[in-house]
Amino acid sequence: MLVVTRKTEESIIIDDNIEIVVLEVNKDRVKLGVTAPKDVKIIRNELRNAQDANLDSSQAVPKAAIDALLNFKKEQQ
Amino acid sequence: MVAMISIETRDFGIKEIEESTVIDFPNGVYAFEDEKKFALLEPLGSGIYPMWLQSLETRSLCFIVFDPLLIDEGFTIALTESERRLLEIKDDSEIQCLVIAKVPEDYRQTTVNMKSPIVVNKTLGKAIQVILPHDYPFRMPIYAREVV
Repeated sequence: MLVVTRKTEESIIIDDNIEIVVLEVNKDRVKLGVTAPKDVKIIRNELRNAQDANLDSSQAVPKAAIDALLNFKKEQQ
Repeated sequence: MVAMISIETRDFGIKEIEESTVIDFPNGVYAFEDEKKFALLEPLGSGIYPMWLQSLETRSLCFIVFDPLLIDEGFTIALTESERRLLEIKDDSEIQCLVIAKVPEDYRQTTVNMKSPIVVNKTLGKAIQVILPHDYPFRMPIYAREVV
């Protein structure tokens, strides 16, 4: 991983057309500004994780696992 | 007179549900942004988890969900102003949280997504999925807590 130290209002440029500027630093929060062409998709990393988790959870559940879930709870009661 | 509708479910065939129990998801859920309506099925009985969050539009889309408070009693959420507005929450008692499970072949390896719960306004039957600022895991084991 490339590590660069920047101060507030300093920026880095990726591939000549994407600029990421540090707008504000506040304890453990950093506010970034991104200037990029419209077709460049920018999302927060957690969003991708949330999408992946949903995709993963949406897979059909094996019948045996469903039966076990239904019975597991009955055993607890 | 209670209006009933028939829905096709992934795991339980055709089910009759009360139309008023359908939950609106104005933004869908992550990765399924076009899925705007779900029904919360309670195959184990009223109020007993897990429940099945079944899409009304896509039979094959269904999530098994748990109450995060039953998994971690210290579970809390923090909603942004825009999330509160979208859900039209007037009082926190209207809020119900659901966490989505990943249930593998061996159900004891089931994990739940504590980081991005579904937040329901029970009064209005409206819900959104949020990403919490908290340091919660996307995949938290619930049955097999010991390290294998």
